[in-house]
Amino acid sequence: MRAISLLKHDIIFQFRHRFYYAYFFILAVYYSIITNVSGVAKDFLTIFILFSDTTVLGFFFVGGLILLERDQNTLQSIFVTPVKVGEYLFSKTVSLTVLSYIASVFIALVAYGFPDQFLLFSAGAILSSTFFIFTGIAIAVRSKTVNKYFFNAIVFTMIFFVPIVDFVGIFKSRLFVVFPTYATVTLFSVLIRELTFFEKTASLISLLLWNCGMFFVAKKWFYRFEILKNGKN
Amino acid sequence: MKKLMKFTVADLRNIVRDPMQTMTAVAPLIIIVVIRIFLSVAREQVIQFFDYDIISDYPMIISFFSLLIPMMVGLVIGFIILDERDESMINYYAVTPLTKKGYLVFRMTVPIVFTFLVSVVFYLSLYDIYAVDLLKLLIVSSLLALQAPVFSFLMASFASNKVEGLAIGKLLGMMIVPPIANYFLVSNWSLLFFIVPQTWVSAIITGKNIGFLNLPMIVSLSLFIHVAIIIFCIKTFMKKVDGS
Repeated sequence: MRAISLLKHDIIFQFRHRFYYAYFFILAVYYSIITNVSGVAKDFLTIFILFSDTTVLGFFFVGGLILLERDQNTLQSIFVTPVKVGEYLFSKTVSLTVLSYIASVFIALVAYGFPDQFLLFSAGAILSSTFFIFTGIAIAVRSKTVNKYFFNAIVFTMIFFVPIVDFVGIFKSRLFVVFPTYATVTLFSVLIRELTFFEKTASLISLLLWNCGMFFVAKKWFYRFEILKNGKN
Repeated sequence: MKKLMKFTVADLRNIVRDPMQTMTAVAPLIIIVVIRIFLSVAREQVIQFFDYDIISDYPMIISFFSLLIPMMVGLVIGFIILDERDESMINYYAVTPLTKKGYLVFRMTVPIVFTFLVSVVFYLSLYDIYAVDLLKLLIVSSLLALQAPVFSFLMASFASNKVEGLAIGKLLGMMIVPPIANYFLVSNWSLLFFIVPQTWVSAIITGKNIGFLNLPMIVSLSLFIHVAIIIFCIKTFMKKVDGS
């Protein structure tokens, strides 16, 4: 119940801070781009937009949210109440994933109509979004200013975006399979081609494992740096 | 002058301490390397997939990458201003000999000078791929330099804190779409794209949809758009700072 109440307020807060307006406009721009291209260019652009924008949307915003709440001492106020770290993280993750998922589905619908394997696509979009939000939380609690958060975030994004070179076809390697983002791109490819059974299961398992790992790290670091305030921060 | 120097030294120290600012300072170099790799890889890939040679589009691609310089500088400065306002630092500056006006001038001149110099270096270092003429280089670099404060003050004036800054920063990122659209679309409607400052830079380099204007007109119109946005934003910003 506490978690639901937090979630409601997080969504209202994000709405007031114009996240939804911003994405309404951004999606309109993407709409006009996607509907004006066709063929391989469209496939490439759609996957690229899904991968580089809508999926990492939460990653981008969560840092600012946590830094602002820390600056305004909202975190202190929240954690003197019975709210648990897990509930707080749940609320942040779900609220941003809602926005990310709506945006991803919109892009997919605009580009290809209702996907045949809608569930698989949704699983890819949601699990990738949550993974990036957990990563964002883990980075945010160790960053002092927004600019520092961005620096750390850019370093991480660069590492995780490596599999895009495989998708574009510049360089192929089996090693990319270990990246969570490789699974993301594979699951998004369901929009443009048939996936093998192995691809489906391997991608889902990979994303699930990365999610569990990152959630563990995010929760541990959040507790250490924001609640106990240990270490340099 | 002396107080501005002191401020500059303090800022330089901050730049060294803050990895994001250090990265912004070296990022243009990274962009130059990336663009060289990108152009060679992209050309092969596009020929292979689409049977089309992008060599004639190089000016557009290069101008596109140059737009990223003021964008990065502007966003970083924008977040510094938002951080300083969230922490009420601006009110502290206002009571020092620097004054609020001095603070604004400072937050504007450094990015302008930096972006101008970097843009010149950027175009000159890609001279073997795209030979820009000197007059164009000066105009384009000046416009790019003005775009840095356009970004930072659009952000600072519309966002009431850093979270809104993120949402608005995301929106401002979309400002690189009109120059590309202007390049590919030929219609009377594309004149609308020229409300966005970025379109001018790429149009001056590529000459798209701008042929009916002569050079003095292009310079004055583009300067007008840039300066008008900056003045409007500063007015809004001052109101917000005074109000808080």
